[in-house]
Amino acid sequence: MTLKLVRVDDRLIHGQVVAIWLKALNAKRIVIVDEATARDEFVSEVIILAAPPGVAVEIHDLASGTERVRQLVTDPEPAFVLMRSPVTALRLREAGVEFSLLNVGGIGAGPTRKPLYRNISASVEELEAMRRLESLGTTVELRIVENDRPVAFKSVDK
Amino acid sequence: MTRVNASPLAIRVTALVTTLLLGALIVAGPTLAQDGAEAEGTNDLIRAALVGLGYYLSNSPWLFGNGGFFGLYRPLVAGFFVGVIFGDPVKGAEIGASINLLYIGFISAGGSIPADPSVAGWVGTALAMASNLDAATAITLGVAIGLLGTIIFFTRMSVDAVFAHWADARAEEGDISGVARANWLWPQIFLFVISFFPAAIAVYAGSNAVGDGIQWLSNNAPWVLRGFQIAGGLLPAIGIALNMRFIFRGSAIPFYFVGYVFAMLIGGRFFPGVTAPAIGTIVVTTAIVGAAAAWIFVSVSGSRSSEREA
Amino acid sequence: METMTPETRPAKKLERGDVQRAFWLWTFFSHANYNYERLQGTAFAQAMTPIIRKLYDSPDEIKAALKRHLVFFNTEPNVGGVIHGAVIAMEEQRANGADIDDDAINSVKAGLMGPLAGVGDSISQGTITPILLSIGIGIAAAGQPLGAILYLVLEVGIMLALAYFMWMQGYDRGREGVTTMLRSGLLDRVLTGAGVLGNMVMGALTFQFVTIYLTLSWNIDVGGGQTKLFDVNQDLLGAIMPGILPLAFTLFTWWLLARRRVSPLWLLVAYVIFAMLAAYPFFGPAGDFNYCQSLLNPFFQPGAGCPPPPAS
Repeated sequence: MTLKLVRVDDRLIHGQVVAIWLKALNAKRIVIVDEATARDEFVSEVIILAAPPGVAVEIHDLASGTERVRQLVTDPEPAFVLMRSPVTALRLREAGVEFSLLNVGGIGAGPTRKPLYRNISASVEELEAMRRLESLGTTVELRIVENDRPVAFKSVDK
Repeated sequence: MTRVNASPLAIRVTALVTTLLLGALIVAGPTLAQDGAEAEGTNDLIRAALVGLGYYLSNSPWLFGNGGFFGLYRPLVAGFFVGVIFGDPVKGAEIGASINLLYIGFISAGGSIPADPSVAGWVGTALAMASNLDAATAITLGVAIGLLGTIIFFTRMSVDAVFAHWADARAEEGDISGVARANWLWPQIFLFVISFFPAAIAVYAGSNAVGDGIQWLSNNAPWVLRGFQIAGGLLPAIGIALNMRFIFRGSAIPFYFVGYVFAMLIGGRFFPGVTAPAIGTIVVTTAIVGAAAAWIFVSVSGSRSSEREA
Repeated sequence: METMTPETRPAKKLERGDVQRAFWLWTFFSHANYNYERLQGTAFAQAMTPIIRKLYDSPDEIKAALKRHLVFFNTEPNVGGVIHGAVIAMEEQRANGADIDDDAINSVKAGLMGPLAGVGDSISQGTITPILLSIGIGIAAAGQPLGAILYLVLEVGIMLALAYFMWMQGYDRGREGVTTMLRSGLLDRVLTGAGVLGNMVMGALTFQFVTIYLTLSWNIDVGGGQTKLFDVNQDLLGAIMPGILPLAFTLFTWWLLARRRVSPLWLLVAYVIFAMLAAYPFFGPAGDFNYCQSLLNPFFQPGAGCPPPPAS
């Protein structure tokens, strides 16, 4: 399983969070799949310039991202997939990319979102996406950094 | 056009708090310096209160923000101030420094912390000083306390969301000062309550408990105390290794060994009969040499190589 | 870039003092209401209050501005201040009629807060702090409380200077300033150098604080009826390299934590238990085997050897 981590975090690569995951799971490549980011040259450039050392970072929109992730599943190099929203994760899964675990590390509160658990808030659409992923066989777990205890989405979804 | 005052209340309260703190220290000083048995009980209370106050301040905004999280929050600094409170800043700083060894690699990431170095520093040092423990034994005590302290952090993170909603309500009214207060005033009152009291009580009540425990051990199983001292020599390896996780990689690896050998040569501890320079200068000297090595290394090799892809 | 619409109202200008006031509010109160839902969100709003007071008059504009800045936000507070500076500049332009909508401001915050948290944390929490702490610890643990003061003054001083510099850079150079700084490669050089310096300091700390002496020694026959005290620390390990044990032990610890991913908590417990066992007086009086009662001894001096068994 070379897709070492499939993660939803609306701040993408930030702080030491990703560094800790990279160290724990020994990955060398991060593939970001996010329409808005792919279209914003400035943000894309900043993300790539600020990326952790020794790690290749790619930014894709949904279409090319789906293709790339499909490639990665069979590629021996260990990689992470990073997205801003569980809705993107659902699209990937519906397009046939199989992953058994979705890590949700952080979604900030906003006008359409209600608090779910600690630093994770979700809109109705996002909750639906996570439930749908569960029904498709992907376990959704909530966890910020690798040494936290994972919390199953099912247990906080009321 | 009305004169613009940027959150004047916040600034005034900051000044007030600082004055109160200094006042408290000035008042507490002579009280603590009293000798005599009746003074002892009050002294314990005052000391516990000051430690509780220190613990609250370490998480508070009042010391230029950074003076909290990068200052009083660290056991090295906390230990020093606890030492001042207990009348022995040398011992306090020693104990604080030892406890801090475990937390050199401490990083707060994404709103999550693995342990609470501040409570380990403030309460740990206070209990160690009250029971007359040496620095090596204090490490184990400090670490145990540090693990318990995360509960205060999680509580604060959860409850403070309430104040965010208060801020929303104030914003609906266009109440600028109200929004500011929802950020700095109410959450700090809450934080004070959940930090000061647990810490002060832990120090006041815990000193006796720890002291009695140590007494019992030295009467019945002195080797346990010896064990703590030995642990005090082993646990720093964990703290150092935790920090090394982030930097012991690539072409920097050999420099760890260089640093060790260099320190060993100037420290002389392993060479019987050699007079060594003061221990306290070893790390500083190594750091100065290390800075020079870093400069040379970077000039010669250029910047780190990392793959970038668009 | 942004076009100015024809002026129908007096130009709104921010003084340097306003920008500085905002800086101090952020510096003090960035974590005053740290919470899971917004993290530093409410503090961002408070930092913007002097700007809002200066730039906006109508209640609607004020309301909108407050709400705009109460959204979720989190970054490293010192280095990340460049974002606030850039946002302040954007608000100033917007108040003067420039075509900057909420989305534009939000995308700068949302897009930059992550990467700058990464860069900022590796500078402040990953580099400056551990190195200064190590120096302070080395001094204070040897009986000089000056070490604690030195750390406090240097650390806070450097952080404040860095924070102010970044804040003003953001205001003066806007978002392009961020990419210019990142592109300059200075960051890479600083982090590489920090890796070298950091490792050397870790080596020095290992020497000063990791204490592990084996109390194994016994008498060996060197012929002619003489016996010599053979001390494992001195004569065996010391013959390879003096001080090899603490070094090896720390590297072993690192390997467990970094490569085998043992949880630090378990390792702590395991080490304490091991220390207890190593302190237990297992070795009673014995024949040729000199005893020092326990496996490890924190005070054992190399070269002193263990006392010989009592004459029976």
